[in-house]
Order: sequence, then C-alpha cells, then structure tokens
Amino acid sequence: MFERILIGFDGTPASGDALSLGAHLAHRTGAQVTLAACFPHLGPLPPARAYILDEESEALSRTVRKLVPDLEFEIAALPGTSPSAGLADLASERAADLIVIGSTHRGAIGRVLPGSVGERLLRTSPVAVSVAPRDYASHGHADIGVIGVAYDGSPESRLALEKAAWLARRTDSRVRVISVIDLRGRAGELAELSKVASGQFDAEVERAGRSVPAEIEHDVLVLEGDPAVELAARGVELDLLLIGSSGHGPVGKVLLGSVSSEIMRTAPCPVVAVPRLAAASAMTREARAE
Amino acid sequence: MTGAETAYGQGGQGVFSTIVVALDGSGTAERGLPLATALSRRDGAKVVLVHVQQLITAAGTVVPVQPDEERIQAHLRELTEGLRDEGIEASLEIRTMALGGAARSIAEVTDEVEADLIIVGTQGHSAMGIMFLGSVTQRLLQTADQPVLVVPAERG
Repeated sequence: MFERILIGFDGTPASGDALSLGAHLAHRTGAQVTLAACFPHLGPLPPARAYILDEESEALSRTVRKLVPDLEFEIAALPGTSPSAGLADLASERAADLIVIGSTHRGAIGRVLPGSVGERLLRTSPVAVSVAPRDYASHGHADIGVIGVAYDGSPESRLALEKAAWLARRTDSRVRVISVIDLRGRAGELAELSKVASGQFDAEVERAGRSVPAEIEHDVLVLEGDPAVELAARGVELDLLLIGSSGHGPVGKVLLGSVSSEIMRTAPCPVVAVPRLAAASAMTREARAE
Repeated sequence: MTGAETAYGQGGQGVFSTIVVALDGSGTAERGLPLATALSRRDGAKVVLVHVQQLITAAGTVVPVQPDEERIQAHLRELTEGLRDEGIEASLEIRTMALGGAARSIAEVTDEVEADLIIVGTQGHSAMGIMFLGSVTQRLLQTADQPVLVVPAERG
C-alpha cells in the first residue's frame, strides 16, 4: 500500500512539514523514502555546470540528515519549473505509492512549492498525495492513534478505506469511518425522500464498517451537514485522514472534488488523497502533457 | 540637468556613502566585493556586508537550511576583517529570514544603515544561493528603493 514514500523537499518551511510527515509515516510503516530535491529556480544547466545539481542535492541531504538523523533515504534531484510533473514522473519511476508535499497555502514562504504546484499535483498524480498541515514540523513525531476515512460509498472511498486498514495494521492504530450526508436546503417531500436515501446510506456505511478486518479496532460515525466542514471539524480527533478522489476525472489520477479540495485546505490533520487506480506511467505522461 | 543627475556626486562628495553587499557564502556573490571595495575607496563609502540565514524546522528540530552555515558566517567575518585591514569602514549584518523572504531582510538592513547602493550576484552555488540569488535578486530589482548593481556569475 505505502511501500515507498516520495517527499518533495526544497528547503522551505513548508517542505519541512512535508519531511516531518513523510519521515513519520516511513518510520511507522517501514516504507522506504525517496527525497525529491526540488530546484524550481534552476533551469537547464550546461554540461560544464551540471555539477551544481549534485552539490545542491548533497547540501540538502546534509540538512535533512541533521533534521531527521535516523531517516534512511535516497535523493533524486528535480530541477525545473514544473515540480508537479517532476514529482509525478519520479513517483512512477521509483514505484512510489505516496507523494508527500507541504501545505499549499503558506504565502510568501512557501513560494518554492507554491499553491499551484500542489493543486496541479492533486489533480494529476497517479498515486496518493498527502499534504502536511502548516507547522506540522514544529510538533515533533506525534503518534498515529486514529486514522479517519471519509467514506461516501464510492469506489474511491472504498479504496481509501482499504488503505486506512492497511495503515492501521502497520501502525497499530484504530480506524474511524466518517460519512457525512448533506441534506442542506432540502424540505418537504424531498426531505422525506432524502430520509429514505439517508437510511440506505447508513446501511452502506455500516457495511463499510463491517468490511474492516475484525482485528483492527474501528468505529463508524455518520454525520449530517456540510461534508467539508464536518470532516474538518472531526480532523482534530484524527492523526491522519484518508479521502478518495471525486471519481469524475480520468481513471488513475487523484482528482479532487470541491469537498475534498476544501478538506485539504482546512483539515487540522494530515490528509491523504487516494487516486482511483494504482500508478501507471502512461497516465503520468498524460498528466505531464496537460 | 535632471533631478536624478543633481542628486549624486555634488559638492565634492562621493556618489555613494554606504554600500550594501548581499552575500550567501558562494563565490558568485563575492564577485561583487572588489567592486564594492573600489567604489568605497573612490567615494569614501562604508561597506555593509549582509547575509540572510534561513532556518528550517522538521520533526521538532530547527537547523539552518544551508548545512555550512557556521562555516559561511565565519568566512564572512574573515572577509569583513580583511576589508577593515585594507582601511575600509566595513561591518557585517547577519539576519535570520523572516516572513517576506530574504529580499525584505536585505531591504530592511539597507534602510537601517541608510545605504544608497545594493550590490548582489545573479546566482550562487549553495542550496541557499540558488534561491537567494535567483529569485531574491529579482525581487530586489522590483522592490528596492535604492539602485541595485547586479554582478553576473562566472561563465563556463
């Protein structure tokens, strides 16, 4: 499920958050780590100056070793102005199954991996993408105790649930299946129909809960309201939240709907967005061509 | 004669009174030093070397982004001493980058010391340098109130 984690790192504070989350997940799951050293300001170099890339990568490696001394990692340099395409390509090349980046909303400080890069990666990545919350780096290694899954019955949310169960087994955590039914603005007969739909939904969520292997401690939470708001509010009780992609985009890419995108921006815990299918290099090339 | 022309070098004074040189520890940045020295001698200007260190936090630990930061700062202190030995009124300002980036930190020092020229390189070799001298120089060119003199990197 998460055997190799690709961490986008460029020396900015936001990338320190990504490093913290990526290293934490690697320590807890035993995943291997590839550190993608991003140099968006470094254009194509003439052969005589190609050594600069090696020097830059080595400098970042030394900084990372000081920050997380017990982390074993390989480093891959990503020069160029399109880190999102570079990260997606590198994930395919290294068979990584999770890309971790820093928060997309950090203002001037996060300029090296700006919001647009994160948003593009979330739309096009062939593998799961996780965004570390702002200032995650300051907190040291918090434990992983509760892993939430945003569940709406879609195939993507079922995949997210499978991954959550895998993670829970690896990290000795519990799983919380969270479903939010949105009945806002509905009245009269429509509300009656919604109640029927709601009952069916509850049954589906219960089935989802039963699909979690019995040896993994888990609970089910069904809420009413604005899904983005409710999930973000529940995030304070979670150490990680997995969400599925919207399912309306090209198969195999993480394509966030408005709800998922909002959760990514507002959740107080790290969020992992899961794509529909496993990584495929052809899809990565397609993403790059967009 | 325009206003800009009358503002410099009148009444027997030099053109520049205080020159800021932004340094990141890379050789490219230091290519501006001979120029600063020559201008200082010509105009009797003070020279203020400015270095902005960037810190990064991960897993609850804080370290400089540039792994050679200590060595860089020691080197910059030596450079400052060297300028003083040559009879130049030189000082060193080391700042930690705050919100707004290195360009803002350099601009703050420039205002504080009332400098009238900023000398900066185009591209460094260190991890800090790429960020510093690429985007920061661009930012300074767009925002600085003082003239900015950009020294190119060595070709080849």
